[in-house]
Amino acid sequence: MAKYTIRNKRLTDDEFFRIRKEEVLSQWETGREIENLDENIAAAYELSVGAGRNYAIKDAEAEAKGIHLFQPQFGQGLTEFMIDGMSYVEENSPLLPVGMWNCFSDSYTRKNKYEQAADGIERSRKEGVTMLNGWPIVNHGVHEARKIKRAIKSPMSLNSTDEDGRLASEIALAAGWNACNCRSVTEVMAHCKNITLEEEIRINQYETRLAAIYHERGVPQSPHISCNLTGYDSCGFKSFIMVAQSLLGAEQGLKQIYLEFGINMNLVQDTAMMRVTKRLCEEYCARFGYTDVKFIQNNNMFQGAFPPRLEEVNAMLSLAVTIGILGGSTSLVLKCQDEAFATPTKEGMAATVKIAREIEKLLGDLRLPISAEVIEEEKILELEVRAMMESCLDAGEGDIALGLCLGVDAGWVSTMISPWKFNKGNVLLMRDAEQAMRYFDAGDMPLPNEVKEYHLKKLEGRAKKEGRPLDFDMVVDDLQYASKLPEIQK
Amino acid sequence: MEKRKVNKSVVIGTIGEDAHIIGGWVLKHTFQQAGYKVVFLGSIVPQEEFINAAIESDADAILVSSSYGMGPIDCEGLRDKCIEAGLDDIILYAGGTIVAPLEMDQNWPEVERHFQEDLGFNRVFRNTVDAKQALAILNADLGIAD
Repeated sequence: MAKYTIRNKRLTDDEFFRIRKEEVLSQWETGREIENLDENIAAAYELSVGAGRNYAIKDAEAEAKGIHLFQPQFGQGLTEFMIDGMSYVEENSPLLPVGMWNCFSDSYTRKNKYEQAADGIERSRKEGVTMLNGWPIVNHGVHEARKIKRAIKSPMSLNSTDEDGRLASEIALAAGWNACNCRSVTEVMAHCKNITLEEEIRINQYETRLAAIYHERGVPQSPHISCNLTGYDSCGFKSFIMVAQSLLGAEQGLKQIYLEFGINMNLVQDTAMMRVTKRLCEEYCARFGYTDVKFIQNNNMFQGAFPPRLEEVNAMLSLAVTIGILGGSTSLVLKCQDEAFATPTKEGMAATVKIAREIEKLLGDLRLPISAEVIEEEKILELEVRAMMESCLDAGEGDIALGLCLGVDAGWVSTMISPWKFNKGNVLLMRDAEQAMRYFDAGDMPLPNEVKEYHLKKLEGRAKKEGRPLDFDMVVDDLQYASKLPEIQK
Repeated sequence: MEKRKVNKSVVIGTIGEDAHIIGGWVLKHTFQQAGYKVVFLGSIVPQEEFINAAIESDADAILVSSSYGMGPIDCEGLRDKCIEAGLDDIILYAGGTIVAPLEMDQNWPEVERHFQEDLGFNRVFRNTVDAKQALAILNADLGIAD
C-alpha cells in the first residue's frame, strides 16, 4: 500500500494555488492571460449566468421541466470556423432554445503538444480547411474563447482531457464555458498510454477543485463524469467507474454532476445502467457524507465504430436518441452523420439535430416501462457494481482513490481494449442475441458467480440461435457489429 | 540489389497522438492467426518507435493505423526516416479514418496520391477495409500465397 500516496482528499487552497502557478498556467504562454482568478470568475459570471447561458443552470432547469436538451459537438482548428459552424447549426436546425454545445479540442492539445497544435493552426490557415480535429483552446487562449462564447447562443462545454486538461479547463471556465471533467479512470483507460492512475487522479483533483471554486463563487458548474471508453466495455464496468469517480468529485466540492453515459445500444441494458448508476452514485456519496450533490442523467452515444453510409448512420443516431429519451436522460450529446469518416461538419451536425428533435417529438412523454427484464438487468448490474466498489474500498481501507490504484494492479479495474499500458485486458466481451453486452470472460474482475453465470447463459442463447461457437472470432466480429455494412444483392 | 528475404513479420501501431487502438488490435490478432510475427506497439506511437521495432524484428511491413483525422501530418517523414535507417524497401501501409475534413475524405484519389507520391507509402486504406482484406493484400504484395 505504501506504493501509493494518493488519497481522496480535498486540495487545500495553498495546494491549489501552488499547483496553479507551478504546473498549470506555466504550460503555455496563454496561461499568463488568466492569472487573476477573481477576474476570470467575474468574466465567467457575466458571459454565462449574466447572459442567461450557463450550462449547469440550463441542464438543471431542463431536468426539472422534464424536457430534453440536444447537444451537438463541434471542433475545428480556427476560431472563425467555430463561429461559422456553430452559428450555422443554431440557425439551420431546431437546436434553439433548448440546446447546448459540446466543443472539443484537437488531439495535440489533449496531449499538451502545443507546438504541434500551432503548426496545425498554420496549416489550417494555409489550406483553408481544418487540419486539426478540434479547436486548440490553449493556443488560441481566453480572448478567442470568449469571442466564441459571445457569438453562440447555447451554453457551451469543453471536452479536452486526456492526461492533463487543466490549462484547457482554466481557459474554458474563464470564458464562461463549462469544462472540467471528473474522470481520471475514464481518461486513462480511453485515451492514455503511459500515465499512472495515481498521477491522473492527482491532476484531476485540481481540475475538479477548480470547477468547485467557480461554483462556490456563484458561477454554477456541472462537470462531467463519463464512462465513454472504447465502446466495447460492459455496462457494469461503466457504471462502476462512474460511481467511483463520483466520490472523487464530491470530495473536491462538486455540487452538480453531469452523468454522461456512453451507451452500448441496448435499450433495456442501457436504461438499467443509467438508473443503477445514478442511484448508486447517490448512495455511495451519502455513505461518505456528501449529501448535497445533485446528479443529472445525460447521455452520449455509442463510442464504437459507426457505419460508413448515411442511411445506416442515421439508424444508429436514431436508436441512440431513442434510448436516451426512453431511458430518461435530460441532455443528449449527439454524434454526427459524418462520424464514420471525419470530424463533424456543420451540415451533418444540423441534420443530426433535426433527426433527434423529430424523434423527441414522436416519442412525446413516453418512457421505458420498468419491466421484469429491466429489473433483472438492474439487479445483476447492482451486484456487479457493488462487488467492484467494495473490493476497491476494502483494498484502499475506505479510500477510493487508493483502492482504484490497487484495483488496477489487481486487474479488477480492467476492460477488454484500451491504449493504457496498465490495463490488464483479460476481459472478453460479446453481444448476446438481443445485442446486450456480456462477459465471455470477466478476466480478473472480482465479480460474483451469479453475475458471470448470468452473462454466459445469455451468450449461450446466441450461440444456439446462430449455430456457432462462442469464441474469439465472435469477439472480433462484434467489434464491427454496427459498422459493417450488409452486402446488397443485385 | 539482392531481394530481401520475406520474414512474415510486421509492425503494427497507431501513429501520432492518436489513442484509437481497435484497428491495430484487430490487425494484430488477424496477422498472428495467419502465422505472422507481429510487433504490436499499441497506440500513441511516435515514428521512431515504428522504425526501431521494424529494425529489431526485421519487419517486412509497417502497418500504420490512424483514426483521428490527422494522418497526413503524422505520417509525414516516416518514409524518409525509414530510408535513413536502412529500411529502403520496407512496405508502408496506412489505414483508418485518415483525414479530418469530410471534403478530403470524399476526394479519396487525392488522399491516395498524396500518401503514395508525397509521403512514400505503398498503400493507404479507408476505414471500410477489413483485416482479412488487408492480410490478403499484404500477402500479395509480399508474394506469399494465402
